[in-house]
Amino acid sequence: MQQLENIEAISESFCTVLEDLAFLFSDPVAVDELTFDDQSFVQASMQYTGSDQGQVSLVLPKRLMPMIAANILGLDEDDDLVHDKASDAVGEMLNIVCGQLLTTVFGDEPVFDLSPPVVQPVTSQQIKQLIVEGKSVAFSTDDEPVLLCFERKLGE
Amino acid sequence: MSLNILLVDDSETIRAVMEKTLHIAEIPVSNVYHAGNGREALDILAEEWVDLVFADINMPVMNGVEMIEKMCEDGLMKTIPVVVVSTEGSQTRIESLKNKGITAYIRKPFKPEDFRAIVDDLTGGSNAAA
Repeated sequence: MQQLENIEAISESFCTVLEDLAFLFSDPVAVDELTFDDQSFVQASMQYTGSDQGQVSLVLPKRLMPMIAANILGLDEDDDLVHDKASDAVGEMLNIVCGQLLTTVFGDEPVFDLSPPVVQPVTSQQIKQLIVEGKSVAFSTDDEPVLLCFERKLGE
Repeated sequence: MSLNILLVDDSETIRAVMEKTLHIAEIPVSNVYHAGNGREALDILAEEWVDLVFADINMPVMNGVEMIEKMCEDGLMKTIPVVVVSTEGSQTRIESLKNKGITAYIRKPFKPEDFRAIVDDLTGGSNAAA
């Protein structure tokens, strides 16, 4: 597994997408500034294949999901539709982040196929593993801890 | 002139956002149809009169490229403008899509102005808000 490269460009791309899509403001932070033990988290992930292959995922607090859906849909957080669509909205946000990230890292010539995003619970132990492996960038997003993980699987 | 528009995306959230975007962009709309993949879109196109299609590429069951290829095989469907709305950043793939006859390409995340500009291009500006 290759270590994460182009961190500055990836971070800028990520922050721009979250701001443009969901009106969420993110700042890159050192991962040890964040706490991942005091609440429930989810991991949204999707695979890319093509001239390179790997996985892009987002780890975020479950309580951030309704805010993301509400902001994308332009609805109140207590709207029933927001809770119905929270997982779909987070998956689509990842889809857009992934598309921008692949262009940032590989340029605009290579062609990639993307799998549908999957959103599922993740344990604090699994999060620590992602951090230890050095494949993630940490952000404070509206004061919540968020990890963007980019795992390239070619060249192993 | 009001348009019948078909939105094709496997994300219900994005279809809802696209529909809202059409209203924000003040595009006159008669009917908006939703499809979750290319197969569902072709079924709607076979039954309903549609003036314009906004379609994603990466979808389960039938993706956007396959859907466009199927539309090109049909004498009537191939005349319907298709705008691809996708996360796709590969110029290689975008050129390939243009060679298949797509009308335009919008990259997510999109803005109302993106939709407005394309509809104005297609209608010669006849849909400009009064």
